[in-house]
Amino acid sequence: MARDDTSIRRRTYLKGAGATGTLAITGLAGCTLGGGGDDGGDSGGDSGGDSGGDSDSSGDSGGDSGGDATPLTIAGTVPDTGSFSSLGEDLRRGYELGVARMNEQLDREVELILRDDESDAQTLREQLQAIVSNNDVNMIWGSFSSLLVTAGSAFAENQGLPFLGIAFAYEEPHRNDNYEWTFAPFPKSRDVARSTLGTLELIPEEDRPTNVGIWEPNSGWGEEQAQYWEDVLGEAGYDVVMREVFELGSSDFSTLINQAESNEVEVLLSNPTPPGGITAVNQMRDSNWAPKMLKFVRGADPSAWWSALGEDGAYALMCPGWVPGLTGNGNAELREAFFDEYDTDADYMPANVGGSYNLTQVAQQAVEAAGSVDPTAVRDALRSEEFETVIGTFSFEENGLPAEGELTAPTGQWWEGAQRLAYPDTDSEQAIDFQYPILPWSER
Amino acid sequence: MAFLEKKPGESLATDRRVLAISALVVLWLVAVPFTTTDSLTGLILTGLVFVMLGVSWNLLAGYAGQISLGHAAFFGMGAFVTAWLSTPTGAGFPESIQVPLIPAMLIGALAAALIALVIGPIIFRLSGHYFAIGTLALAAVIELVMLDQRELTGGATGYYIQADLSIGELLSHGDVMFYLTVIATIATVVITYLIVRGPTGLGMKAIHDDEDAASSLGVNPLKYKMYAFVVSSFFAGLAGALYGHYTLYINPQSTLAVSWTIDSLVVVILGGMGTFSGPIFGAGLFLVLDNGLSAVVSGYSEAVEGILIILFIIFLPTGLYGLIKEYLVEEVSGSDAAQTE
Amino acid sequence: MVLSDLATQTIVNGLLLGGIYALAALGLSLVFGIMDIVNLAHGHMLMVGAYIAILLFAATGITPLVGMLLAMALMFGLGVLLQKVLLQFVVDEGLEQPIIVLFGLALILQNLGRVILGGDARTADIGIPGNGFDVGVAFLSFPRTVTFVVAVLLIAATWAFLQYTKTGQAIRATAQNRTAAKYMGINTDRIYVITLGIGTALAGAAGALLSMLFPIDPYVGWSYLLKTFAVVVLGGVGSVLGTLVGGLVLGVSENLGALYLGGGYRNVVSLLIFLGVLLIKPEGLFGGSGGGE
Repeated sequence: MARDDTSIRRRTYLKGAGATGTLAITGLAGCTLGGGGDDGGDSGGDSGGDSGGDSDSSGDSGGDSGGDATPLTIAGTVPDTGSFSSLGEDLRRGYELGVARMNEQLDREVELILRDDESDAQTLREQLQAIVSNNDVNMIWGSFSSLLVTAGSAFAENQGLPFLGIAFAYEEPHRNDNYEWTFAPFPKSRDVARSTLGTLELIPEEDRPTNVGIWEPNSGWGEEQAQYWEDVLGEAGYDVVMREVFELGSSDFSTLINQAESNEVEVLLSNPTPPGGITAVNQMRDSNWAPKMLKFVRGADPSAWWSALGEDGAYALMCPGWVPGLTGNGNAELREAFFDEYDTDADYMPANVGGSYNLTQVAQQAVEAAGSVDPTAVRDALRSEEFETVIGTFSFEENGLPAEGELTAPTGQWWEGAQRLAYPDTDSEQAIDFQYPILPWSER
Repeated sequence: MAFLEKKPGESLATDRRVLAISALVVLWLVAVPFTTTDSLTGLILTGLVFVMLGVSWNLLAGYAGQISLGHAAFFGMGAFVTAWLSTPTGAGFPESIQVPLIPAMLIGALAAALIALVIGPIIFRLSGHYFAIGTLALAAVIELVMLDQRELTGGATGYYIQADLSIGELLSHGDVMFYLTVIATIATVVITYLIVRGPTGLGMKAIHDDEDAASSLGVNPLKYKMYAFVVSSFFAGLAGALYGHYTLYINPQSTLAVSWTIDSLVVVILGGMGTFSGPIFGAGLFLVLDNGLSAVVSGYSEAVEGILIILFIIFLPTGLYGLIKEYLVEEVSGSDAAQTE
Repeated sequence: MVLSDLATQTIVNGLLLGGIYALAALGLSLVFGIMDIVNLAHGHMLMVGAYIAILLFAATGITPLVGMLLAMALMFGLGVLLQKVLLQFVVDEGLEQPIIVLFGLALILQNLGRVILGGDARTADIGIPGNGFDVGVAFLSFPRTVTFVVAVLLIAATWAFLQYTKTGQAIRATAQNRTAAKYMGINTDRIYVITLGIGTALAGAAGALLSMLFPIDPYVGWSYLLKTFAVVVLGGVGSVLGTLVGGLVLGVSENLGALYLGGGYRNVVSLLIFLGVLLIKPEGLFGGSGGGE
């Protein structure tokens, strides 16, 4: 289906002023943080405490640390509606838990103003514009997916405000758009490709597949990710037998499935949107074809994956930046805070809560190090500090990319209704052994 | 439904009251960036863009009688061509083709007009329903092709425009874009007015009322349709260029989306199709509805718009203009389309 | 040879899909042929039908094949209502008014869909057990085969209705010449009501079938409108058989386009075929204009 339809929605310039969907969080009742939780086999320290020690090395222009208590006001959007809506709640929760922790641990008031961007880049921009023109904003947080995060980033670059964004693997803008204010505490395309290779190497050599198929979404990131996969896996000796472009948001994958089958694809890699990924698996089942290993970066991120597909969604791999099973750097506190705050029957947290929580840790540590919320001071701290978050320990390059090699992109796998860590191998009980191969439909 | 709101020969511009009100409106617009917030300025700029879209679509649909559902294509192409010239590196063009923003916007608008000039003779082989749906399909093709041409348009990621017309601390880029939009809107209104008041306007009206009769009287229908199509596309392209360079971000899926066509149509129907000042009132009403109403009926503003255009087209085909005229102006000279229809 | 197997499979997929396209377009074609109205809300009516089936399936697990019957009944009612309260004011009133009224209706349906059901894409499952099977080198997917068969049966039933029932004959007479039909004692107002009811019901049926194959969101209306209009143009306005052929041609060419030109061109191919036919042979590739045959 042509996606001309998806954009038929009202511009929301103004509704900015009308405060629809606005949520300001200044504190969350009943959220206990800081104590050393140990329910998750965690060995890491408290992130706030750790980074406090770094503040002596704070940025050049922020020498006024100590007495300054200017509130930190953060503008942000999440996709509550539209094609990424299944992620909106997860992002929001990670941000909420993070802001609650920041209010507890920082000496200043932290306010996050979040609006719905309707999964639309234009709307996102308009919402940010509305928030920034009505508030004293000193930091911006991103939404979901490279499409929306780059839109927010471009806005922040124009405004000269520090910008943090996750679910943003696209590297090219960091290199070509002269980013000064954008920082991505998130594994990038190259890390995703390395993680894919690492996952393949978990398979005993005699069973290891050779034929790789790539479905490349027609987007800048689609091309970049496909190229990394082709290069990294090609170099490691895998055969890339298929690489086909498709339109983001398309809903008929039958031709791609037929092509994959006829090229004898064993490992299928793609980065579709979540609804696209779900539709693709449904149509694989209808066509009675499945690869031996399936990785849908971003596509298999949301909880909607399992609610829509059920057991049909098992085995699928994703690379959401954080997966239950990671340990250290505040993971135990995150788990405790999440299950305290939200009433849920689930045993495992949704992946994107961890990703967005990691972002709030970076924000907190940067402000602590800068000793100020002055945009330049915070930016300089982002450039110079090392950050310890639930996804790992890393620093940033000048252009906002996480320093190469410091982050391992964790690969998660859908199994029995939850996303669990499959690579790298850890001994957390929330991780699982990588399940391979995917059984034919008739045996599932 | 073609009717001029005054008798031929009688001119709106000679009415002093109209001139006085227009002058006041322009003065108020000049004060806007200094007296309101940025987001309100943006809102009023959007309203002016709707005026340009409405007035231009009305020329084609209301006067020449060609219901085009492809207006968004010209709006979007104007924005993209201008963006290629103002920010050539975004599309991989050499820096050397960069053109200052104001001429770039004019070229963008001319490009939209050129597209109309090329496809006009082909698409005007269709008439009536087929023309409407053909233009809708054509706009969809343009959107899909532009979306596919990722090197040129950024594809789904969109195209970031670098432009800065700010004048010191005094006027931000957005404020300057606002003034340019005010000027462009005035130009659109004045030029369209001169066209519909002139002999070309009469020709358009003639082919709208009865194409066969007009052509037997020696009026060449294609000539007038083309005239309306090209001029209409020029202003739509100019509106797109202005809007795109105000928001500094365009995207094939939203800048070329059919929603711009819908908005143009709603503005014209609300204001009064085929009346000259209708689209101006329509844009105002639309803006109020889209914002004010959304506070009252929240998510339902689109449905309310749908209901309104249905009610207007059935019961009040002269639109808001007709209402205003009926209740505020004593002159019954035009004796109104509601009766002539 | 591998390539030809792939091409065969692609053509088979295209034919299976084309059957539903034909059903989706049939209502549009009939309303256009008989009432001389282009139903700009046709794609949105299809969306509503799909949602009826999806909601029923989500709430009760009843297969959308049964949901389809419910969708048809409800949508028939909607069509009748629409004609009686709205369109009778504007039908036969020239071009602009019906187009704009239906455009407004499309906006309303889309907005209600979004507010009531949210903007997310939703999908149903066929909900009955069954497996696809191989025919030669091609694999026939179970849901696609079932939906194809149902679509073709509904098209055949519509054809038989127009051909062999009294009402059907009256509809065809009205399509050919309204004034003459009136003289012959046909209540053309009633014919219009029935025609719009049938057209809307067929859109609802197609939507219900599509809900088993593709995700549906409140915005799908426009693209299905263009696709179905393409089928109408290919097949000739008002021709049942032509619509079937047009649907199959569109389905196959879309799939071949996606195979040979790339997935990005799936929709471009169908739109270009549509524009091409529109410009070269506006009366359709098959059959003349008008006439419910």
